[in-house]
Amino acid sequence: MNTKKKWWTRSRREAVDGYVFMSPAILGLLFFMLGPIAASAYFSFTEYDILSSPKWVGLDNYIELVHDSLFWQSLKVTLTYSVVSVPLNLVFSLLLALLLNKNIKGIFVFRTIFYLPAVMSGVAVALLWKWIFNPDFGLINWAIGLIGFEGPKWFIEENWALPPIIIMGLWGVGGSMLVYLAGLQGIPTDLYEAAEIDGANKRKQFRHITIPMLSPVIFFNLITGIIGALQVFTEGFIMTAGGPNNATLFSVLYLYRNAFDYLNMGYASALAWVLFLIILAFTLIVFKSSPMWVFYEGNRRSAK
Amino acid sequence: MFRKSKAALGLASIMALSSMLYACGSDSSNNGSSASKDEKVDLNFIRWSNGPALDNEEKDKVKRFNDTHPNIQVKMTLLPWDETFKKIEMSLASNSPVDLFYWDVPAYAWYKKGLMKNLQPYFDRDLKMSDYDEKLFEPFKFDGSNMYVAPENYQTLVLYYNKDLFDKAGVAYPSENWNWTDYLEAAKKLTITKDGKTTQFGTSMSLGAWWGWMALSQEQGGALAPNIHDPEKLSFNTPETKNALQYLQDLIYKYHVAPDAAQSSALGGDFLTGKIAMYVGGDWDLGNLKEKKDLKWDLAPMPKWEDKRVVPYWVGGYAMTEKSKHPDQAWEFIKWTMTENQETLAKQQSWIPVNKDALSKVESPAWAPAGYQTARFDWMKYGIIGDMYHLKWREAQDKAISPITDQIFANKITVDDALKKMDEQVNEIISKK
Repeated sequence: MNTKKKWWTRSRREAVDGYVFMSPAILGLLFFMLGPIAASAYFSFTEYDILSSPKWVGLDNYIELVHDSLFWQSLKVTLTYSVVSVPLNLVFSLLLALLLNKNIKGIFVFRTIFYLPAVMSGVAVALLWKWIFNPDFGLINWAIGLIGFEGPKWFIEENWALPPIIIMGLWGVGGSMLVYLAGLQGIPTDLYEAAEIDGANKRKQFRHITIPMLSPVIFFNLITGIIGALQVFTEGFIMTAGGPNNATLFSVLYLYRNAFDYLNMGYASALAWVLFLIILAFTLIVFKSSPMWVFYEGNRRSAK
Repeated sequence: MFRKSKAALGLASIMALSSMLYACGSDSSNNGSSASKDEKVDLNFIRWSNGPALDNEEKDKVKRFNDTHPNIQVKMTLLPWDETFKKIEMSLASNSPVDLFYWDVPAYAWYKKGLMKNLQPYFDRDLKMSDYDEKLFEPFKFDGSNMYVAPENYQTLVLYYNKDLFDKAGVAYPSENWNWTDYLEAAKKLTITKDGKTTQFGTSMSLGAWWGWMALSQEQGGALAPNIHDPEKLSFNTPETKNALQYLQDLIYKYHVAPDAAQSSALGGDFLTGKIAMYVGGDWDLGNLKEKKDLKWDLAPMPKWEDKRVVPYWVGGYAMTEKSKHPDQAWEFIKWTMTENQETLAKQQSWIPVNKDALSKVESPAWAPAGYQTARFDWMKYGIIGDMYHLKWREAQDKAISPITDQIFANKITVDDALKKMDEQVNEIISKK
């Protein structure tokens, strides 16, 4: 009672240490993120060409967006891409992770090989795939030709410009595969053993043990997948330049062009904010839906 | 209200801070603006890259200048075309603009914003205009009377043809009297089809970009606008432009003598690999061709339209930023490229020099084929500038001209409908604000 606590306690010192260690990240956030974010919010209400000072125009940029057919086109392209590629990536990387979760000799070699593409630079990979999808002598159409069909004109026909970009997206599943793999390794084996004793076959084990136990990881991959897909840029920039006839004009590419090619930084900022709000909305929807399907250990819901 | 002003204050302080940071970063090397004559000065110079061969000539150019001018060090940065303009823009937006840059059309926006130096006073002081064909410099008089870019070289269009393929097909070589009908007739004979697949095309879609089909329109007397500087309205939907685009579309879909986009990507290096018999393209392709020893090729002038010939030309040159801290030294470099270096330029043969004296010394080099002289230099009698200068030109190209042209050459739209659409969309873009 009468022992007055020292102000400089161990826990306080630890807290200070913590803040000191965090300071690079916090300062970085303040200077390199928050500043530009605030600036772009302001610019989105101005007419700004980078070269002269911004002029306040109120909501003009946002009103113009609504009437800009290319904005809608870019949104359509981006959403189409996301809706197809996100589930495809989720499934594909899960399947890979299941394969690589086998306990066989030399599995590390395979894991490395399958992860390798994820660390390669976006531009080099984009160029590589452009050759693979070349309509006349690319690998893909050669293979299709072997079974007697004529391959589509990838990248040249408007309807065949987006599919190859979605397919090549699978090349980079190594990242989410790795996260799945970690999740799979974290599932206690006694669950499977118990299920086996109860007579559950492999398929049932997968449905009732693997999927629920993996759901937090699926949730994580879904969120990062959605965010990544809505921000796709390199493929449209390097491989197709947005063409043919704007069939691959992704939102971020259109934003980039407005900012740097057309000198409409104000308009580009407005685009960025709209895109941000869209991403935020999707993320919130997924978050809100998570109690329905994401299962955390020690947080078991009572039966319905 | 209160909150907004607080946010604005925060923003202002961030901006002030970042501009301070910019300033710290840049001024350390070249303090003080009034450089005395003996002071050593560094000039920042950005230009776009043209591939290894031409880049080496540029590096050599800068090196020779630096060696002969001990007090001026030009520091050149070579960047991809697209990057160049972004990089310079960023430098203009900060407090330390580059001193020099190599000109191309997107930079016209900077002139409109008052960021390019008027070079006329220097021209008046240091250059003898009788050394040049001043008429060809007109496009660079952005305000009608003052030069804003210092021309160093010309570029033009020529007809390239593969002699072996002509010989094999028994077709007479192109002559300077050819018109586009002759061109088409020859292309038909030079196209080879085996089992329904074309293995050799008479020609290619090298004129598919806007400056290509506009060249065909210009030969017939067509024009996008009466003036190339800040036109208020552009006319695409004209009989001349219609003829031009129809001619090109027909090459693919009516006569099958030129590859469509898919076929041409399959041909790889097309003309260089000997699968295209002839094409009309920029004389900047000569650099690659002269290295190609196993290909027998020659040049002819661009064909006439019926009996009229107009050949587009372009001018390459240097410009200075308004806020350069060393305008006099930057001008030294520019002046040197327009005077002393012109003979070297003539010898290198990659670009056509602007200086009359140097031009007259352009002897037919060892590698040059027979048609070189006429094809490359005759345009000076009937050349028309192939550029368009407008603040919104790049946006118009990206948003309307290129996508609609794509559709024409994919046979998705008739030329009539395409040009109506192009007219509408482009004029909407350029009239905005």
